[in-house]
Amino acid sequence: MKGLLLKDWLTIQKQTKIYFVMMLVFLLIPSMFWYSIFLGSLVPVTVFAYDERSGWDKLARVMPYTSKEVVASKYIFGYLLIGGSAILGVIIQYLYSALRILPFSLQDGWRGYVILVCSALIVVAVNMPVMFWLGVEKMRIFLTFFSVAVMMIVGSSVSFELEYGNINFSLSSGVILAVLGISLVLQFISVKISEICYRHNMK
Amino acid sequence: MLTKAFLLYILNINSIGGKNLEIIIKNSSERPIYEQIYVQIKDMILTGVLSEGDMLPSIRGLAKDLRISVITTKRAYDELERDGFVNTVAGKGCFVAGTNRELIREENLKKIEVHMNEIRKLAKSCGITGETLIEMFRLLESEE
Amino acid sequence: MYAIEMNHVKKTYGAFAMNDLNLVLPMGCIMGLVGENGAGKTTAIELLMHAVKKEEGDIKILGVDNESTDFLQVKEEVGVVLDEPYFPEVLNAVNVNSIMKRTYKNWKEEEFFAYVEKFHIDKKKKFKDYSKGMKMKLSIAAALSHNPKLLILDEATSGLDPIAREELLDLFNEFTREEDHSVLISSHIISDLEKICDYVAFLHRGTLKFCEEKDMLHEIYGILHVGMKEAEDIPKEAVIGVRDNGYSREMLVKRDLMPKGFEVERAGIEDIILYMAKEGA
Repeated sequence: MKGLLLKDWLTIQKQTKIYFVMMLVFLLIPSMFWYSIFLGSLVPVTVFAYDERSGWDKLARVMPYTSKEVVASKYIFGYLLIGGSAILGVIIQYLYSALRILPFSLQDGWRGYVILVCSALIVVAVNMPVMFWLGVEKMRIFLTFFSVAVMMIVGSSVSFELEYGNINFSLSSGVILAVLGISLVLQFISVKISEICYRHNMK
Repeated sequence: MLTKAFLLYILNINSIGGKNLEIIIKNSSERPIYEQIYVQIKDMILTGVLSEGDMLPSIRGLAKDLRISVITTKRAYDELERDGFVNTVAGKGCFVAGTNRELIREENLKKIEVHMNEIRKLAKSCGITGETLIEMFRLLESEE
Repeated sequence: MYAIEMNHVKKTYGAFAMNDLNLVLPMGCIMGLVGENGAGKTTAIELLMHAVKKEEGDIKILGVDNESTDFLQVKEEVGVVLDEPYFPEVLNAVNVNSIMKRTYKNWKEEEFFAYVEKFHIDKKKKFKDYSKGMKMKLSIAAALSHNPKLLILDEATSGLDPIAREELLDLFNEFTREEDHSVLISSHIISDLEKICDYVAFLHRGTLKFCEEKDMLHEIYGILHVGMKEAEDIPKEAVIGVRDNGYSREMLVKRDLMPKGFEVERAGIEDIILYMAKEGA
């Protein structure tokens, strides 16, 4: 598993440095920081595309990896990037508020943050099984379209709220916790479906 | 690492008790490879190049050195053992069996028979009788 | 004990069908798998490693059923080189080492870099900038560096120059100096296989034509050159394949079914395969 994560990391870091530059730039722009959280959910799809192109996906099947590991590594890689950019996002927002550029407090903004992260997780949960089922090559348009659509709808509305420090976020805490719960349950279901897809995807 | 092992191998096994083991495999030969090995090792035993108790190279080692099939090499060794030229000691290796004069005699008799058959055919083809042949042989003997 | 056992294996892909494939590789031996492109060599190898699913039959690698959970442990002991290079393009040999170190329990870092050096692979160069031969060599280095007991190589020598091929053949030959080390190597360069194999298996359009001890092939089959008239005296069951050139006839025959008096010449493995492929068409 560690080997797979390292491979994904090395590949993405060398192949598309631009990804990380973009994520960082988005994080620095107050009205666009949420882009990077969604980019995080798209990275595993990109890595998967590289795997297909290089033939690594074939090699992985002859190496001592379980299908669980192969599937889990992609999810974990996505989680790490989403989590990483969310945390960095919070830090940067706090810095901005300390510098009195923008008002920010997690106490007010956590709802928006949770919604952003949850939507990114839901994107992962939907994209991954499709990817393991049909491959990136065929599904690239769907995967990208879906991610961008969710990003635009959720991201722009939530960030609007966050940006202006709107404390009265339209959703109650209860609803937000429910969304969090649902997205976590979805992860679990999604992983299971992906495993089945990966195993049955064997020619 | 491999090369080192390989060198050691040549030093230890290619010369048995200081005697140089020479085996030549001809791929183009009509003779099967196992037979080529069989004959050459047998000849070395019969001519005394190899003597009783000498250890033969391991089957796998010989096969890899000569770059021939392990199975073929095993077949040659099996035949050598079946014909009593070598003994295999499990876990230790393959050793030249005690020189059996009877065996050598038998071998030589067989060879003589083959040669005599050739002589008979040749003689027949040009009308030389058995008596003439015997005379020729006596003459050869007296010349020695 | 067998390194590889395939019993009655069936696999179909659209028009391609592999039926009742039976293949056995005894421990300690090298088997060459030959066949034209599309004969099913790669499919056979993928089936062995359970990279594709068989429809029928059973497959055991190093004595373990390849659909059982124990097969994961067996994969640790099998070095596989697939027919096309497969490391991510941007990675170099150093990266490959760090990934493999976290993949194989028995990964031998020093051994890997020793092979890298031996093969004159530039450690810092990206995989995509390697020549085809270099890619293959790096794959072979990786396959050899985790103490494998079985090597499975798909077209590992094609695309390499004769000197490099010879070097690799030597390596595989040395690898099987250990009694429990076995190799399955597929290739369409028959002369390479003829040099190192103990067994030759010939796959033609998904069907195994023979799986025979290499030297036995020479004892079983022979080439015969005869005039057209003389050819009529040869029993049909002895003849495997025929090639007429207008003046005389060349045939692949079974030696033991031939009447005495014919001069049967040695048949190379290439001859045997070409005749059989032609007849089977």
